[in-house]
Amino acid sequence: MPRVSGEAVRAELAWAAQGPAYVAALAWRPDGAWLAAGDDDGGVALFDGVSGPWGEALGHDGGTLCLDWSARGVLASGGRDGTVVLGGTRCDAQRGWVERVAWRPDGARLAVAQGRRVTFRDESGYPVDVSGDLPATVSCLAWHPRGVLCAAGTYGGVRMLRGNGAVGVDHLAWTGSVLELAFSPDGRYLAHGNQDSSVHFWDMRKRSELEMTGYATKVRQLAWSPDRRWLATGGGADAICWDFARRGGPRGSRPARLERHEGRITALAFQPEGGLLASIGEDGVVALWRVGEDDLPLGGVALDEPLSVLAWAPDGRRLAVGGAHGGVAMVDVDADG
Amino acid sequence: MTTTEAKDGLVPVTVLTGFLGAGKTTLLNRILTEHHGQRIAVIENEFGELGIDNELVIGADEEVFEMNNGCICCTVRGDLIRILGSLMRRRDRFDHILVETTGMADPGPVIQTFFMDDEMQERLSLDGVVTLVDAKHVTQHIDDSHECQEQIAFADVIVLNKVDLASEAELDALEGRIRSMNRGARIHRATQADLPIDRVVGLQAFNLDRVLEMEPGLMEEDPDDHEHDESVTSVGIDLLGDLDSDRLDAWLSELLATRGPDIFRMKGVLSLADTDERFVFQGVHMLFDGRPDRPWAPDEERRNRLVFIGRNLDRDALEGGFRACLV
Repeated sequence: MPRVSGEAVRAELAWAAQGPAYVAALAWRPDGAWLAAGDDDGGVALFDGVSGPWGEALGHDGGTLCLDWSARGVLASGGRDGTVVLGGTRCDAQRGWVERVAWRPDGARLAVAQGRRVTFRDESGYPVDVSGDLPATVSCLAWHPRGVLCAAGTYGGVRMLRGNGAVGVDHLAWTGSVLELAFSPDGRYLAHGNQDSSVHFWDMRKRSELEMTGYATKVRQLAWSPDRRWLATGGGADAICWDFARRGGPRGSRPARLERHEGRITALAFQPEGGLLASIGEDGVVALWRVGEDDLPLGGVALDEPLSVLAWAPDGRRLAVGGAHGGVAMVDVDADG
Repeated sequence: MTTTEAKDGLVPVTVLTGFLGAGKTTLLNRILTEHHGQRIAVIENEFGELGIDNELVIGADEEVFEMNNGCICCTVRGDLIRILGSLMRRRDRFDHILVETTGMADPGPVIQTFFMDDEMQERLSLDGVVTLVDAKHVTQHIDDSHECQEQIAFADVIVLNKVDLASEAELDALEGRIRSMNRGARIHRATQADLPIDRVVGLQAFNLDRVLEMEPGLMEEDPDDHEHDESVTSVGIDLLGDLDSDRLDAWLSELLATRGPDIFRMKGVLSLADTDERFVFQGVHMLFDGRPDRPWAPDEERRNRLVFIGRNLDRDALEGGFRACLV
């Protein structure tokens, strides 16, 4: 890849494994020792973060759709069979696909999106609370970083749920269909990517909102930098990065536009430490960027299948990617070149 | 809408509409039986009187999504985007997808879903809208149910089902009535949805190449046309001459911007001045798709043939507006 800056990031393929089908979800155990991959055939494969394939966990007939590993090291998965598997135990099936699972930051509650409902389970799988039917199917979940509220995105906006039996505390009403949600690391901003090719922000403190339109496609890729300066967004072949360090936030600003992918970007994630942004796309490319400093990628690798999901290892030195044809690959990232 | 040409690898989708009891499930089962060996996914929004025998039947709640601007022409079906988007990931791809809607569903958002969503557009091609009509009982709804009228208006194929329960005179009257609402559709009669399957699947009705295969007599003035005061009608225009592209563009833009919600479907073949090729187009509400077609033959009469299907259409205004675009 061409570069103009002095910095180089070395990215090398550490290992690659072939799974049976589209990789829908990837999650690291917080200690970085294990990686789980959920595929469209219903499998949940376990990998040793260093050496590669290790074994299989309980899966989901018809397809695994989501995975999350808790802060305490409990793996949760959901799928088209309508069940949640939590720490190796399958909870009873309910009607509808389990499209999202999300652990509260402390690992004590699991939010499960299934149809129009969000069910909250404790670590043992016991259902502590159910949201009741929301007006539309829940498409995405995000816990507030301080872990009190869980945001559920639907057609019609965002519902804030407590998950402790209390009724929904807040409704951020918005006309349109919310596809992906992300809280800024300090919890001040909530961003959502939408079906109508826009990104909407809520300033939770000032109760103000702002909308960014003009994306090429619907927006399902959102990533905040750990220092909360940047929100990287997909919705097309380019990564559009909004600068929140400016006074007044990104209102009226021109975003940084990162161009490298040929074909849609499918996922974005910032390195937990070190500030690199990783992007993957349908073109099979993994690109590494330093947002705001360089408009060209500092490094990357190209794989031979469209990529669908990515997850940084907790130490930020390895990047796991999954593909549309079932591949799972590990990329070693060395920012010192 | 950028293109509706059939591309290799696109999975065809058939939309089945009609009121409960019109025979959708019967037709669905017939399609599944005759196409056994193919992988067919069925998305069902209601549970009919008969079970469906298929390995992949997905139940879904109809969720109509409006966009932020609130325009009816931009509404899509969120449930279809979510489910079909997910199914398209599968390694063993489907050969065909059948979407069955409830009797109360507006077909507009279903159709628009396949043109408004980038993933749907890239991987699926809408094959056609098939509307089942209960020949005996539809007269109870056809005058006052918007859903019933819209299901007829949006259809590419209308199956008059259960014809054994109606007299020949009733059927002729019904068929005439339906034709005045939608002249673009083919009408078939059936008893237990027993018509050849190739009349309902493999239509490629949204393919511009098929626009020309419009029903014969599509443009003819119907002598009964002004007999009823129907709110859903077809307006056919057939005029000799060449069109000024700029004026046509301005007229169509204005028409779709102001009347888009009332215009369900349109299609046609146009003769543009200073152009050797015929121009073919089709549209759903405000979505418009058109391109140059083959050159006009030397001995061919250059004429403009188009049809609008919609609600509260003013034939004189449409024809007058169109005529003003002629050079």
